[in-house]
Amino acid sequence: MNPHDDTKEQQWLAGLRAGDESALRHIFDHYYTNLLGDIYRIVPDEDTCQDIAQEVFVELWRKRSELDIHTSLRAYLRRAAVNRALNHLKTSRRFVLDESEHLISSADTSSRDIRNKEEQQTLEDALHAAIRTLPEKCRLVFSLSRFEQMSHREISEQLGISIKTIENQITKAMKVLRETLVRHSDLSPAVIWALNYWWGA
Amino acid sequence: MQANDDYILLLSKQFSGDISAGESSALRKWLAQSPENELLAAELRQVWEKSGDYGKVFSPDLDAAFRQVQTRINSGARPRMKAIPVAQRLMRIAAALALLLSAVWAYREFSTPPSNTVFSAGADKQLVGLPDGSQVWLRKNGNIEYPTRFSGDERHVKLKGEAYFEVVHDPAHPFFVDMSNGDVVKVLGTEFGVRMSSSELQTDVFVRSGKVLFSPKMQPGGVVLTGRQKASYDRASTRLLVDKSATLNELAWQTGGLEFESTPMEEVIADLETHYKVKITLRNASMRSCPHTALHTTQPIEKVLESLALTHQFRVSNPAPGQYELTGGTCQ
Repeated sequence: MNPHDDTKEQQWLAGLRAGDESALRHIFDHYYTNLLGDIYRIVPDEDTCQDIAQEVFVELWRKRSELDIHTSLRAYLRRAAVNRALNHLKTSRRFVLDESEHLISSADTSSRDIRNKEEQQTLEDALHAAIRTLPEKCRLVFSLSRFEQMSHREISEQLGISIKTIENQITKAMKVLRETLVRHSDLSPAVIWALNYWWGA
Repeated sequence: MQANDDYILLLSKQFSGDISAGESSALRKWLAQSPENELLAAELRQVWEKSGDYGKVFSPDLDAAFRQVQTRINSGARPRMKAIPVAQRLMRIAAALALLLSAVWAYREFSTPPSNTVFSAGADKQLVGLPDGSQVWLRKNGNIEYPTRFSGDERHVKLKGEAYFEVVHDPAHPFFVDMSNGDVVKVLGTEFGVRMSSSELQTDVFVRSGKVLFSPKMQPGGVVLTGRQKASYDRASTRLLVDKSATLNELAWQTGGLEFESTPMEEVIADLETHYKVKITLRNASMRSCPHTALHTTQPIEKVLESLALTHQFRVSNPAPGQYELTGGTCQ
């Protein structure tokens, strides 16, 4: 039996299979906004996010009679959205096969701007801003590992890049984000206090 | 910081739960080594945890968005196509044509079994999936021919140019790379690169892991190579050279990183020049043999030189675009 059974979801899915468009609307209202956020981590362009998320629901409708969902509906839709977003990257750009890093890290060039802004930011905001300015491949690999819980092997298969490259990119992301943390801590004694407290110094 | 890179990676693997027992015990040892390591680990854990809700909060107009979904459903429209730049479109057509022509050619040449040929004319590198799940990264201007399905006891592909292979382990069906100059590389399941010079006179094989038998056509018997070894066969001199502790930086085009282990500075510089296509002059002759150990990930050359300068106290200058000079330096 499916451990994620949820009566409301099951009703929607049953409606969907029966061709009831209002069931689709319920599912849409419930998950569309979340999916936009999931896709945004991979393709940070709002229009494209909407485009991809809508396609997920179009596809859900088209496949309604042959749906075979073994996880929660949320997890199923999220996975479909992530796959679609990755496909979008593959087909729309030179991304997949190009492992070289032509771009000088935008994190390097803009770090001064970030530093100025950091003073009024929370640590979370500062980290999010730093993730946003990571070079594209670095951000993508980090996001898939951090947010989509994909293994390095899986990321390698999805993106067609070597495990070694993935490891390098994750290490790089961690280092850039750590620098952000350290800079932020310099500015906020409370964080240092919290760290010391946490580690029983 | 460079020296900690491996552990930064292990920490990230630990946080994501994708860590092996061996890695986990290596990490524990490292943590026990110094309070600095523990601090670094604490910082990275914070980074990992506090970045958790990265993203963007959307507040879409659900009615409007759902109407668009309905329109798409009712029109039966396929996903909207993005405009593809002309150059890219031409390349696709060219690639399709190349594939078609090669298919026609291959069909005539070997009507059984059917085979595919892939050329990497446009891209720097092209990933080719073989029918057994093995992967080949074909470097620019190379081509590879392989059957649509491997049959019989052996897996054969034909290569012209340079490629990197990750071969699915299958001892019952050994994998062969037949070079167009007659040299053969036999594999059991491994990760390695093969390169044939455009004159077809020299063949180089670099093995990252696993075991490979390299048989130059003119040298029956050949040589067995294992992890981190490189062999070069030169037809002109009929010499087969084996380097048993190669740095494998000739695979950097595929892996995206250069690594050095007690590599003499002269070789480090030669590798950097080849990889980044720049000219680097080492002014201090006494530094030529100074050993250098580091893993340089996919950084711009400026960053690599900066870290080189930091390690060996060089001064870096950039007298002209693409030209760098290293002066001073002390070898520790």
